[in-house]
Amino acid sequence: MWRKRLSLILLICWFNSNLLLGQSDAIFSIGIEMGYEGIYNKDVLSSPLDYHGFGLPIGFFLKKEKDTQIQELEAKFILPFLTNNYPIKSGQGTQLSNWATVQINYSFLAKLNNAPQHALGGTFSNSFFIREYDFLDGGSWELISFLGMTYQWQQNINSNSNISLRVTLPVFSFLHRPPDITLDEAFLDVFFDQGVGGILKYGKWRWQLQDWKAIKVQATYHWQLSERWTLGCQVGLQYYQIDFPQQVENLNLPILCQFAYQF
Amino acid sequence: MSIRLSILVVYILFLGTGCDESFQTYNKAAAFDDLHQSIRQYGASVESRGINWDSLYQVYAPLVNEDLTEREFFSIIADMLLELRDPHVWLFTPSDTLFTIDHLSYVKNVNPDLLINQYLQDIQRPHSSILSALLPNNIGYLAIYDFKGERDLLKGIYQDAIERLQDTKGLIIDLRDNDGGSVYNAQHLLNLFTPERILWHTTENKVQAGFDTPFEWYLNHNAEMSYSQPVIVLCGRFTISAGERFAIGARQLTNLQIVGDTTANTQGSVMGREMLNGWKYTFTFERVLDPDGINYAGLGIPPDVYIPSHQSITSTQDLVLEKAISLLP
Repeated sequence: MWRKRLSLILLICWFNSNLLLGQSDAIFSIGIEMGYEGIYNKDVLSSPLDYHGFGLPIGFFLKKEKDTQIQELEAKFILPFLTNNYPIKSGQGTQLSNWATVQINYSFLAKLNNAPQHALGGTFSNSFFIREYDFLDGGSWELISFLGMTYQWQQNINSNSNISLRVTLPVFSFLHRPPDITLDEAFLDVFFDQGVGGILKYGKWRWQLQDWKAIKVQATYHWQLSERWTLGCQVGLQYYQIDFPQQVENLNLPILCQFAYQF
Repeated sequence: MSIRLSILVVYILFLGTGCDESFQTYNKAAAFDDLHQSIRQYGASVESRGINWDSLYQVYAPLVNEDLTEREFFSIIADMLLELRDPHVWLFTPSDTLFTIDHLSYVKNVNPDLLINQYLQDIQRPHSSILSALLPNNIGYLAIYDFKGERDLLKGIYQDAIERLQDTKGLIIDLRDNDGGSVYNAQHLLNLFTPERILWHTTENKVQAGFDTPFEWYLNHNAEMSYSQPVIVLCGRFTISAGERFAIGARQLTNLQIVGDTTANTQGSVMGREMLNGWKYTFTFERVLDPDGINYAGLGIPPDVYIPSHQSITSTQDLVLEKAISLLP
């Protein structure tokens, strides 16, 4: 419980850091996002078939922007009990009986002094995709936590709207996949005794292109509806391929509507 | 720009919604190859049973061509899978099903109606998988039809059943129609007859590079409840999977004896995969070795007292049960 309270306090402190530090030139936004996310996945460990479908993500974000920097915290979920979840299917009629995704990202970008429309920085991203196939003991997952480089280009269209393009290239990551085609007794013993924390030891640390590759691209169109309210439309592409214990390839194509309040 | 954006949105939506309701065509040769490779790569039965899986490819692959009907393709796949003779091997298609055990010429050596009508008294059904009863001369009887179910629940039910039969002079555990389930449930039941910690068996999972590190399973004395009188375990060709692992444990315990026929022949755990055409199949991925390193896959666990299945049951007598009763004091 105390960890949750500390996290909340730290979040509030970060969010109000301009007040604590006496700075007043930052624009804070808090918003929600929802939309549609197309998903393609082929996990040779679980099935020779490729699966595709879509989910209805819902999430929230916090953003702090100053003349010199941008900070953003985003959490996005596709969970069966939260959204209207449709099964992801193969071309042969088989489907995932249950699946869910969670993404939590933090980005810090510094605007270039002579060209503020360009910003460079980093992203700490955590994503988790777990799925159950509709036959005996079929299940798989990817947990990906990475540090990456992020570049953003932003251009004003007019006084009330702008467009931005952001590219994130993961550099170093912690990857967690099923240890092999089956969950052996030693793995299950650890899981039942120690929970999720116990099985983290089966993850691997990897550099980009070392058994793994990924990229993330986002294009966003912002409208300033009023002094306080903004509306955004974001189209994204997130791709990863992990080559252990057998290859999994995944593509997410989110189309999101973002509604935010500025203060 | 707006037209290109519209096309992109439509494409994304098409990608997201997947294909229409009709299935994609598939290449039968590719589906056959993928199945054959998957069994070799992930299945324990090939090594466990000494099967020349690659030579079987040479036999069956030439039979596959794209002009086959679905039923004909199923028949070829089924014939190849039956070469494993593994009761854990099943194949499911939209219109056909293969259960290997139906093709092994096994004879069931138990008649439940005969038991209930001729032998059993004071019958209780504490769970769908358990029948508890009494036999003449103060002998207890426990039929276990499977080891499926929530572990803690079944552990308590097993203990309650044994407590009910605690004052009997002997116990018969009937596994002749047991189609397996959770090894942990089998372990909980065996623990009730275990005087001290002993090695039960080891398992190894088939992985890409062979088999993984052996995992040791133990039986432990249950301090809350135990049964110390002689126990006869009835087995037969329809004692399968976790039921067979129970039989392995019975062979390790000096107060247990097995009467009946050899068990089904598949002790490892089972998993499922799908083919390139969406058909689903199951197979054994685990190799099981008894404490002496013996692998009974393809053979079955032999009884201590052998009664052939086809000589086990008459219209009025269960000869396996009667032999078990005669062995008890």
